[in-house]
Amino acid sequence: MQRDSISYIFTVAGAVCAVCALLVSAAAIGLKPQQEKWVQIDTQRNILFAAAADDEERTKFKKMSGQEVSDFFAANFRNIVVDLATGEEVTDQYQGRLAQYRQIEAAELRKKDQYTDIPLELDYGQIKRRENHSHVYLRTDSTKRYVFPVRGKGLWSTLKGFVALQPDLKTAAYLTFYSHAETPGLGGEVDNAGWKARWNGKVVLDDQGKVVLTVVKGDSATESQVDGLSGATITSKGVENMMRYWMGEQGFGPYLRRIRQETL
Amino acid sequence: MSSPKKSLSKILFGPILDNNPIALQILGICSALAVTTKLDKSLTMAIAVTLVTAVSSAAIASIRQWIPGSIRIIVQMTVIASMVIVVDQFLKAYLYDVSKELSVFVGLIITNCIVMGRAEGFAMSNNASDSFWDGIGNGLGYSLVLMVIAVFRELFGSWSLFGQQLVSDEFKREFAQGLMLQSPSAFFLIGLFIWILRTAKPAQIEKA
Repeated sequence: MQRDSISYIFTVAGAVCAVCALLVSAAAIGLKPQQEKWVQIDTQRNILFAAAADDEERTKFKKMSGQEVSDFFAANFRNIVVDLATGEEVTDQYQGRLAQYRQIEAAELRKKDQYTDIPLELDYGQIKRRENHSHVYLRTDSTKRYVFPVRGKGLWSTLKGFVALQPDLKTAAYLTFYSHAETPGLGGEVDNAGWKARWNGKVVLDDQGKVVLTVVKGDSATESQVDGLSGATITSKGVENMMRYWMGEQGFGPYLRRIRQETL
Repeated sequence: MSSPKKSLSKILFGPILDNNPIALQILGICSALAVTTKLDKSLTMAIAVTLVTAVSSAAIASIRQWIPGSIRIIVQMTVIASMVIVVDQFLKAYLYDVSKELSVFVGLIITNCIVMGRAEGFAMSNNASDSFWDGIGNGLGYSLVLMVIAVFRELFGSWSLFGQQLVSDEFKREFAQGLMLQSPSAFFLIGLFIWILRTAKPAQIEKA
């Protein structure tokens, strides 16, 4: 074949693509188990941050190696799965493969019988679909905090993170995001440690289980108001709506009510 | 671009000071600005670029007789892009924290001018093993500049090296240079580096 003929060019291009595609897929598939291990450790580390007693302990968690995080998590946390609609635990169904249940995938990839479409008027967090079952993490050794996975739309992106509630299940303890793409310096300040610290002690739910927490402009006057981020009205509103959705009846409301009644 | 046969040591060590990709060829500046705020990030980036340059240069050199001239740049891009994805996958599997911080920049190795520059300028006209060592050499030249700049930026910007704080918190609050953590400081440092290098090796000064 002639070196610059069209058929020769196509043959070479095809061969190069085939070899490269093979290489890339082999690397992606071969390394997947190892990568997923790290994703899991990263999730666990974020849960540890949310459940940590203070910044000092958070620093300690930050310095832990992956193995230490896994061990600490296994020893001091109870991981349960709840049916969001009824508030009942369904952990038995997942026994042995708890860590493999990825709830966000269940909703986003529309796994059969694992998600529910959210009615438009109730979709405060603008996430369209909600998984039927969600993880809940309970720290059993010191703080006894409950940690809930939450997500909601900000300005540019869906913020994904964890909310920790105090053992009374009405008061916030901490809020942390592991994934978002808000504007650095403005909405991106949801990662600001000073701002996150302000959530501690804020009243999220009233005695009837209604979500009362709001994110406000200017000074927060009451114990159920959190200072908004300056220059990031839409992100702040998004965080408020995210809390309203996940702590309300559509989210963990039924579960929270059940646990509160049991502990009364 | 047929040049007389060069010795291995010249191929390997030439690009470090005599023909530095950043200081003399002025390639790969963008990533040098972006990743040099911390030493550990810079080191990972340096290793990744060195590996990608070496392996993709060798791969391109070994198939250079068969690459049709009309699509050679596209073929080079395909090979380089595949290497970058493979490196990214390895980082995600074994250096997860670093990969999270570097994620965008690892993808941008594809557009790092050093990799393309060596593929087009050297690998297309030399054999595979020379191209491999040329890639390593240029990667080392890039790494040297990256590490020097990162030492200055991390030291004066956050008074730490490899994430280990060297001074007390009070001292840091008083003397940390915020500018060092901003991209423009890398421009000044690269400029100073080129100045010092060209003063020591006047042959590199371009004719005005």
